[in-house]
Amino acid sequence: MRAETADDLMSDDATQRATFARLLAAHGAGLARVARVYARSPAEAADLAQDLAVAIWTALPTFRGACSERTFVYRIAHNRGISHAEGRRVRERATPVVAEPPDVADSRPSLEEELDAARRRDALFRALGELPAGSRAVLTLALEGLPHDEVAEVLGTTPNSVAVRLSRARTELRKKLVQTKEQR
Amino acid sequence: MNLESEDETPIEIARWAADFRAAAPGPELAVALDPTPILERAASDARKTRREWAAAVASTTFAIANFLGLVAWRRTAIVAALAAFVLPVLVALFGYFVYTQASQRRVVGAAIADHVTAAVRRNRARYQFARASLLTLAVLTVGFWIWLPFFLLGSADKLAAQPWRIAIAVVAALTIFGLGFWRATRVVRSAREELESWRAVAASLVG
Repeated sequence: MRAETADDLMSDDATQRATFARLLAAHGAGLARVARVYARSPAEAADLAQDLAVAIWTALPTFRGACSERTFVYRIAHNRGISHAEGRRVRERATPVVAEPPDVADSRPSLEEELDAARRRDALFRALGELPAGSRAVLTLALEGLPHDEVAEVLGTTPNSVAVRLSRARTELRKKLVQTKEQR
Repeated sequence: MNLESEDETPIEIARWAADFRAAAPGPELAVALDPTPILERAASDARKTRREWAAAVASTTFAIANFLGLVAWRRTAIVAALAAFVLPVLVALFGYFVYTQASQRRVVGAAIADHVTAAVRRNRARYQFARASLLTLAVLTVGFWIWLPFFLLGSADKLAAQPWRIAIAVVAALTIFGLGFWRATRVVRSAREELESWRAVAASLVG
């Protein structure tokens, strides 16, 4: 009886590891993008990405299949990302810090087109990071390619509300990008 | 591209989406998402959580047992009054710890709206707790400064020979209460700012 329990535990652990590896393979790039949206520098994004992965591993035993795996992963990632950004805001209020340079791509010698694309990406991520939490989450999920009903599941709202929020977030992002362009 | 034109919205979104998804994880992120260190960190986090729980349970039990022992042993009005004040505070502190842990655990894998609602509740509880602590400190301070002159008058004969003891007592009391107020007001301010910040997040999710 005891051996069976140990086997079950081992098999549970092996299953969890396999599921986790599969989730990382499928959504690792997406997690990295979420981390980049909520972080202010590549180093902070790397730390946060690992944080998100740890949170997913820890939460995995609670996953009962009530939603899709992708919804589950993005819920955890955004929840952790929002908490991270709020924690940082409070810490920075107590001790203001100088932000690290956002990306190394700008300073790297490259072809004109590559540089342009890198600058555009950098501006996009920076603008996304400056949006209010609700707009940032809805837009990030939409840009990741999630359909409205799945975005609604991640946010905890209705698909109709997602459409409204998305339109508002789009306008906010457009304004931020124009501001960034003007500042250059 | 004219960023204000609504006609170009689909093109604009497609371009944002392409730019967004083209941002592949760099070498730092690839390292960060390696499963081995993630699992090691998860195990270390789990140990830390277990240690926090053990410390909270042990310290609360130890403190409560000590106070109950003191009350049973001394049987004086001042000890009973002190215990009547300290024991509920200890229980409340432990209750707050259990509440925050349970609240965080309950919303694992929950929708963003639920996660934010829970965070607002937790921060509201923290703010109320911090305010209650400040109020308690204020009551204790007032009580102490009312009691002190009576004590000095009552011990005038003993203290007359050593007046410097009065000065030390007053300076020590001022320092302790001053530091207490400084710390408590900082905690209240940070709790209020954090609560406002989370309320702003909740407001940004409504619409």
